[in-house]
Amino acid sequence: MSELKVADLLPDLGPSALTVAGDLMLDVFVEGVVERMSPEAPVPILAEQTSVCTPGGAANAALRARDLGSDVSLFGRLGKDDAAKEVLDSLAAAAVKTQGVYRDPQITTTRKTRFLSAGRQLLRVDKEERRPASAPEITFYREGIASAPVAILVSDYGKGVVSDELLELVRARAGEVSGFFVVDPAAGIDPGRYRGAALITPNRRECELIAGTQIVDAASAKLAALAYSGAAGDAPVLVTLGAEGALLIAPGRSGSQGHVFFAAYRQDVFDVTGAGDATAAAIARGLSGGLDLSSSCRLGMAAGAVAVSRPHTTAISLAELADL
Amino acid sequence: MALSARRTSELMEGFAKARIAVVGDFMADVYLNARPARLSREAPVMVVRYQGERMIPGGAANAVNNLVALGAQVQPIGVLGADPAGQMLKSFFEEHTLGLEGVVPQADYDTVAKTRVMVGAENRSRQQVLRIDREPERLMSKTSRDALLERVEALLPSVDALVLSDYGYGTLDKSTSRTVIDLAGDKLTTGDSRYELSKMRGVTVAKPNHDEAEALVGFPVRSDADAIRAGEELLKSLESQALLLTRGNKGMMLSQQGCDSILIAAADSPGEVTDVSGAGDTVVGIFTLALIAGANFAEAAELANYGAGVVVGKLGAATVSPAELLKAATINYS
Repeated sequence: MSELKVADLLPDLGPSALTVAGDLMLDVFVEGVVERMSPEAPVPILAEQTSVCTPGGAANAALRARDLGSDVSLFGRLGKDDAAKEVLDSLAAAAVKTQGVYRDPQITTTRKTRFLSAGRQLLRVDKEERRPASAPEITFYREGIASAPVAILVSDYGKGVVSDELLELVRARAGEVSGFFVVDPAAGIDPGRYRGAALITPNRRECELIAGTQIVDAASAKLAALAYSGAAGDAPVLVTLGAEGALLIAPGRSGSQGHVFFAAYRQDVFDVTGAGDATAAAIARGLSGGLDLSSSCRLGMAAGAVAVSRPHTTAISLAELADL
Repeated sequence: MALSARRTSELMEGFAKARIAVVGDFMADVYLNARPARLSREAPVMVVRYQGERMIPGGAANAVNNLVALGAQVQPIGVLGADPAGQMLKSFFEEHTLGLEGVVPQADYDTVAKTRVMVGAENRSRQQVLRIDREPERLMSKTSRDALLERVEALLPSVDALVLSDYGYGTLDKSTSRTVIDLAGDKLTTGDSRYELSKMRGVTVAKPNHDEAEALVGFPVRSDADAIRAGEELLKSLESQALLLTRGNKGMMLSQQGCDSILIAAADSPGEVTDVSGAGDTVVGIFTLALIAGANFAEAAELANYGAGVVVGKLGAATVSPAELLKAATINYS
């Protein structure tokens, strides 16, 4: 099953309309050269050459789903600052629907600034504000999600958008005919709140934190994934393990094999920023286009592999995934 | 020395009436404060959480800041970009109710900014972990340069002196320096340039530091005799009336047309010498203000020397208040 090629899946991939809900942010990449040390303190001086902004978090997931042909309606919140404008401009350029983006002048838009030289990071500075969604914000989402696509991707970065109330709205909407929701979870959050998900995609660390064990081999990965799934009301779980691939478990599914191991694609890793977003977005894209869970995960693995092979959070395409 | 307490007060009373324009490279010294958060999972680097940032005016804007602190009426003349550093400098000028008539906005100009990332946990001292320098990739446009010269010309009649503060970022390039000095005519002009004082031939007074003087004359300036020789040579080639050479812990040396050079020992500093960055701007400010107030070159140099003693005891590009200057002068008499 895991030998299935992405190219073989594409003929079965139907059109897709997707709701993406979660924490929106701006990724800033400041690149330059380091040629001298500061005369004031023993630190390097980065002479800035370029500064590139791209949407991050759920906004990146939305763009990647859009790359793969989904019609995307995005839900989340932004402030009314420069960072918010950058995010909205990029989303508009990609024709992502942003009517579901709640604007609050009180909020500082989350911004992660990475300082790089010769492709290597030197430092990351995060500007963020974690705060639970306010009552007017929840009302805003309730009204929007009621008419949004029933195929839903929740991209939780733990900044406050993905509240229990929002998850209730998502569950209700996903309960409609042919609806489902996939969750890219935040670290250290009780997965019980994601119950009812068609799939949860923790990475190694997120899975280990919940399972309370270390993943060292296939057997321990399976146990950890089962523990995570158990904590999430037996929802299917895909644990992504970086260069070691990923493990899908779908407990209690009739006719299911129980678990599927996906080997990683051999790719030169350039930048892992946003790889998780690409993986989750492609899985949601696959499911909403009519692929089964295992095939969708295969598509997700391919998307993650392409994403890490290039700088920052750049566009991917179905054609590239088929070439793997 | 020659300057009495009464004469000091008398000169300093003139500071508040002095109208002075500063033309040059406005820069922003930004201190970004953050708390350590964790290690990144993307790369083996720190992730720090942003807390806030503050901007200290740098370059020609530090010269402006020093003059403002001394109570003068200051007119900044230069270019600002539409970027955050440009915005911060504009706000700084506005907060100090400085006229913006001399500020030329250029949307695509990269305002020079030096950002220090200062990281520290709650209740601990912060430590610098990285400096990010943003230097202009896109320089001043022809339109901006023309606008700058127009503003210099328009504002000159309403000021007592003009300070040229060149930090090597292109505002005062060779031809602009030439035009500005020619426009100033007989008006008092003070020239301060990082290694390119030679393009400011004709300024009334020039203020090189030790390294700049050495580079200009082409011989090592080690002894007092070397300094005197360097000062005389520079004074001649610059065709200036006076030249004030700042010599770090060796104090200063004043050269004047037709007089013997005067060596001035470094003034007592109220604190330990902490940071000499930006001290030259303090010296330029006091020296120029004293001249406007009627001091002769020697008196102005002496007062500037007291101010230098105060400012090097402060961290970062700092300023000196009239009260601090008066106190420093008083201490140094006794």
